[in-house]
Formats: sequence, C-alpha cells, structure tokens
Amino acid sequence: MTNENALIKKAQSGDREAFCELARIYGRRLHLFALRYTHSAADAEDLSQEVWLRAFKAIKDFRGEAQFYTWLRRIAIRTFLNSQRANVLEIELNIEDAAFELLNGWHEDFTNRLHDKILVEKVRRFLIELTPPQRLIFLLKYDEGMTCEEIGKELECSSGTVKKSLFRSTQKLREKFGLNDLTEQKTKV
Amino acid sequence: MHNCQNIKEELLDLLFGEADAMQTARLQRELRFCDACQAEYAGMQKTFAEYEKFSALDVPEENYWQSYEANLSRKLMSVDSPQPKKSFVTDFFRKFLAAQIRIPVPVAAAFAVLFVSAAFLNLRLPVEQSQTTQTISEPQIQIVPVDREKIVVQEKTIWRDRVVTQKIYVPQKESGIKNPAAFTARAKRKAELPEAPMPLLNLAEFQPPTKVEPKIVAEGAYGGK
Repeated sequence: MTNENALIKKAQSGDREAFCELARIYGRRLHLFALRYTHSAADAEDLSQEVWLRAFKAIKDFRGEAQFYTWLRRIAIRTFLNSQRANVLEIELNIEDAAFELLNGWHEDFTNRLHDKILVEKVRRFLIELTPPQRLIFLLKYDEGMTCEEIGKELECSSGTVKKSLFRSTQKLREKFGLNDLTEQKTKV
Repeated sequence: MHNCQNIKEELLDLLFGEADAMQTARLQRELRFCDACQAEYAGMQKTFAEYEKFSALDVPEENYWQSYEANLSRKLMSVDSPQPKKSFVTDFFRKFLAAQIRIPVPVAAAFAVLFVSAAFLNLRLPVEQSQTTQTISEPQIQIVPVDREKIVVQEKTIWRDRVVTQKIYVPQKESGIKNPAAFTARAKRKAELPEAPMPLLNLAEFQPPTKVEPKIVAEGAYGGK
C-alpha cells in the first residue's frame, strides 16, 4: 500500500490529520487551477477551500477506482461550474502597472523580466476574455493535460464540441501572441 | 482531396498527441505538401510553448502558499466530521423514501379526485356493511310489544343481498313469557309450519240452561261449614 493510499484509508476512517496531509500534497495544484479559472486570489481561495470541504465530506465514498487527484478534480469541476465567481472578472494587474513595478526596482535582466510580465498579462487577459466553459475546457487541456474525450465526459458534451472550443481558444491565444502574422506571411509567400 | 480547414482542426490532435498512428501519418503527409497547414501547425506549437512558459511563470510566491496552506488546514480542522457511512440497506431505504416520481398535473388531479371520492364513499359504506354482516352471521329475533292484545315476534333474515323482516303476531294470553329463548324457538317453529285450520263450532242449536241447580261437591272447603 502506497503512502497516499494509507492516507486515504486513514482519512476515510475519520483521521482529520491524514486528510490535511492529502490537502498539503494536492493543495497547490488545485489552488493554481482555481486561481487561473477565477483570476482572483480571494475567489480562488474560497473556491478551492469549498472543493476541499466537499472532498472531506465525500471521502468515505471514494472507492479508489480512479486516482485521488482525478476524483478531486471532478469535484472541482462541478464546484467551478456551479460557482458564479468566474462570470465577472476584473483585471488586477495590467501591463503598464507591471512595467512601472519593474522600473521602480532595477534588475540586471530587466528586459527578460519585462518580457515575462507581458507574457503573463497577455495570457491572463486572454483567459478573462473566454467564457467560463471555454476557460474550463482550455485549462483542463493545457494545464491538466486531459484528453478531449475525458473533458467531454466531465462536462457532459461531445469530444467534437471540446475540440471546436479548443481550436477557437487556441486561435485567440495566437492572436494575443501575434503569431497569426507568421501564417499570413507564409501563405502569401 | 486536401482541405486546409479540416486539417487545421485536426492539428490539435497531433499537437496534444491524441491522434492514432494512421491519423498521425496522414496529417504529417498533408503538412509536407501544404505550406499554410505547416505554418498553422508551427503557430500552434509556438502558442503551446508560450503557454508552457506562462504556466511556469504564473505561480505565486512561497509565502503566499504558506499562508494559503495554513488557512486551509485551519478550515479543515474546524469543520464538523462527516457522518459515518450508512449501510447498504439503510442507504437503500433512505433513497427509496426520498425518491420522487414525476407525474403530469392532470394525472395527479385525477388521482386526487379518485382518492377523495373513495374516502367519501368509505365513510358511508361501513354502516351498511356492518348491518349486513351482523344479519348474515346470526339472525336476530326481536320481541316487540305492540299493544295490550298482541305481542309481535319480529324476525330478520337475509335473503340474497336483502334483509327480510318477518313479523309474527302472538295472542296476549301467550305473552306471559318466562323463557324468551324457548318462546322465540316455538314462535319460529310456528312460523315455519303451515297453520292448521281451526275446527268450526256450530252454535245454531245451542240454548243456554233455563235453571241453575247448584250442587255441593264437598263440605268444609275454604274453612266454612
């Protein structure tokens, strides 16, 4: 029996410490998922805590047929879809603020850091512009590495629908990165 | 026939390794001969690479995680323990009792009307039914004094689904009843048997005696001489 299985067994028999240990193992990954979905630290904290509380109440029903994180992610997807937190998003930072922040604290690799900040803000803006289901599909694919069929099962839609949504999202992200120009140039040539 | 739009949509399968061997071979062949599709695929790869870079960069600092984990632990320690898992039988009955059946409103209304009608009829029926069952199980004979001349023996029996009441008139002289059970049995027998015709007396030649000659039968009776 692996360490994780032992922790799950203990948590199922009511050992709260064992469950907290599981939360320490997967807490960051789950919270990062929530953070990218809600784009707000406070909302992400509320949402991920809600997922853990639901998991705590349902841990006795976990039968070990799937990985623990897969089971946990399923709870997260349901919680995210039922939540209204991701519907109205506010941009906490913008590129100008990021540049200003960097200019105040001079650093050797200033250009690289500025480039990274711009990249992060571009992707954040892109994620905000997507609808909540589109954003969820995108994150489940790009961050969680799920297959289109798995995403379709979780969201109760066809894998074709997932592929179409992913294709559109990827096209939008390419536009944000300014990578569509490459295709146009190549087509003209 | 090469169709750029169809190929572009399939390129995501290739990018994420979801295409099978045949699809991979076909797409690679298409990419070799179409510059636009090749550029599209290169753009997708670059986008994916940029996103990977973003994923690595967009991670909170360590102190953020420490604070988050402390909050989460505190929350989990303060929450009530979940209820112990119920057995299969308990769970089944709980689900069974909580189960809901959806029926259309007209059907529900029809059921409600039927239920109310049945309840209403049920309030009236028991009285009649109890009478019938009582009569069937043991027929009762009631003795009802009608007037000073006669008494009436009333007998109730059931014939098919009806209660038949039979009244038997008995002369007053027989009404000194000491044993009602014996009397009613006798009355019943009398009611069952055909009544014998009374012999008629011819009183045409009857003449009352003109003189009365009293005779002393015995002396000393009643204490006199």
